[in-house]
Amino acid sequence: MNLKKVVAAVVTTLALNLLAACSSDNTDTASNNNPVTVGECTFLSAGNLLPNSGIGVNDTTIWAPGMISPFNADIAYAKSQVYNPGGSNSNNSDQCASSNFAYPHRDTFCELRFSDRDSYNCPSRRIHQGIDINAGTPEDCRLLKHASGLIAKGASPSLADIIPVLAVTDGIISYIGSYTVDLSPSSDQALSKFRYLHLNMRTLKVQFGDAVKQGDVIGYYYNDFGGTSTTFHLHLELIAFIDGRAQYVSPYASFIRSEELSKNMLCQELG
Amino acid sequence: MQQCVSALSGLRIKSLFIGLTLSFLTCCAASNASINQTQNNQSENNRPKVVQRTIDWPAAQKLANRHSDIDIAQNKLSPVRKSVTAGTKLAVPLMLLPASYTSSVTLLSAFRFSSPLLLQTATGYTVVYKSSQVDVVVDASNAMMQTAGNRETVQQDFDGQYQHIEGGGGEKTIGRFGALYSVQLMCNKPAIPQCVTEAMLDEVINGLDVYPASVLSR
Repeated sequence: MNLKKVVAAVVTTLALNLLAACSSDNTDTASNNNPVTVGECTFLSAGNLLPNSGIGVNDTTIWAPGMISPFNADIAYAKSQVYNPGGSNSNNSDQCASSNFAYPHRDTFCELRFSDRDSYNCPSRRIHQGIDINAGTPEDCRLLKHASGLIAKGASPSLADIIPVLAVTDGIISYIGSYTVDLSPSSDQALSKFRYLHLNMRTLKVQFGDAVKQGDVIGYYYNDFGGTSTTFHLHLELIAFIDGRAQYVSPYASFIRSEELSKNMLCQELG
Repeated sequence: MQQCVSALSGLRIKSLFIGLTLSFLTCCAASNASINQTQNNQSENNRPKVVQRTIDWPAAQKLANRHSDIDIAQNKLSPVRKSVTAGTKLAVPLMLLPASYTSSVTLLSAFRFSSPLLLQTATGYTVVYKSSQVDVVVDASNAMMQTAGNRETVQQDFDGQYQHIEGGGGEKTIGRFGALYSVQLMCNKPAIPQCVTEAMLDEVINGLDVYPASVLSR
């Protein structure tokens, strides 16, 4: 009995000391000697859409390997804009709910829509052709709502310029529409363009034909949609010519990877 | 009773030991991960290979030559060009809409399209025509990714399948002279029902014609 107690005490002490050693230094050194923060970022598998929001595709291809995150200092979260709080298919009308600004990332490529839209590999054609991304914090969201209200009454559109959106690659601004900015990569022949939707179109930092460097600010996170109401988010598409036609491919894996690299962290897959 | 308590104590000790050991191993395994390691099932750099399409320049030139210098001058083609200098050879045949676009169309006749905005890209060019309701965007390319199951070698002209795009727009990819042209109608006012239709897009496609690249120097 006494021996058992001694053994139990020793084992417990050793284990606790080892655990303490692990938790006191939650970082390790990457091959480039920069500290890596583990465990802060999580994501759900590609194709793991919200229940009853469509059928996703488990596309883990990093279609844009050189891409950086469209957001630098601001934390960004891939989230559904239709089926999460604030969305048209949600019972919760608060788009600034804290759950919209928390991990895990969730894929929304192939999410159910009502128009006949094609993609490279979604199981159906009534789909979302990009991913939706929330940026910042619930407080930033509330500030944007407040700014939006003031802008609607005539205040300067720059009031909403809180969260910058970056060029994810070197390229040329190849189109600017009423709610769309296209960025054609300079050197990646595989990709036709990145398409950004819903920036603050009145305060863009770029014009048609501008050459931009990766990391340049092209505009600000907002909810412009050509006069149609939508939530504050960035909708990001990736278009490539594949097998003879322009096709929408999933930006999800590329975005996760870009977040890891841009914010020097490792995202854990939850399944 | 004492034997039972002893047995239970032993069991608790073993469970505690196993649990703590597993916790330790999990903790340290996670912290030893490297930022340069992708997640287990992320497939980096396994995109399909990029292939260059074969452009039928003689056929394109023959058709382009139908547009004489006078014809071009009278049509008043005046692309506003960015990053394209006079004498630049484009990677693909240049296809534009004629200036007098309202003559034979019905659905697009109400739109007053701007002069084309053209810029050269890595694999071809992009040309944009703007109007208040609908913009025409054509992305042209001589390159594409080719999947393993695709053995397309005959690059005949084709018109692809129509698809809606975000915000009420529409797109078709067409093949001409071996090059690929993604023809998009972008809706500037998504609240308008039927802002863009396949019939409108077909009118644009039917209106595209090949021009000599010398128009860029005018």
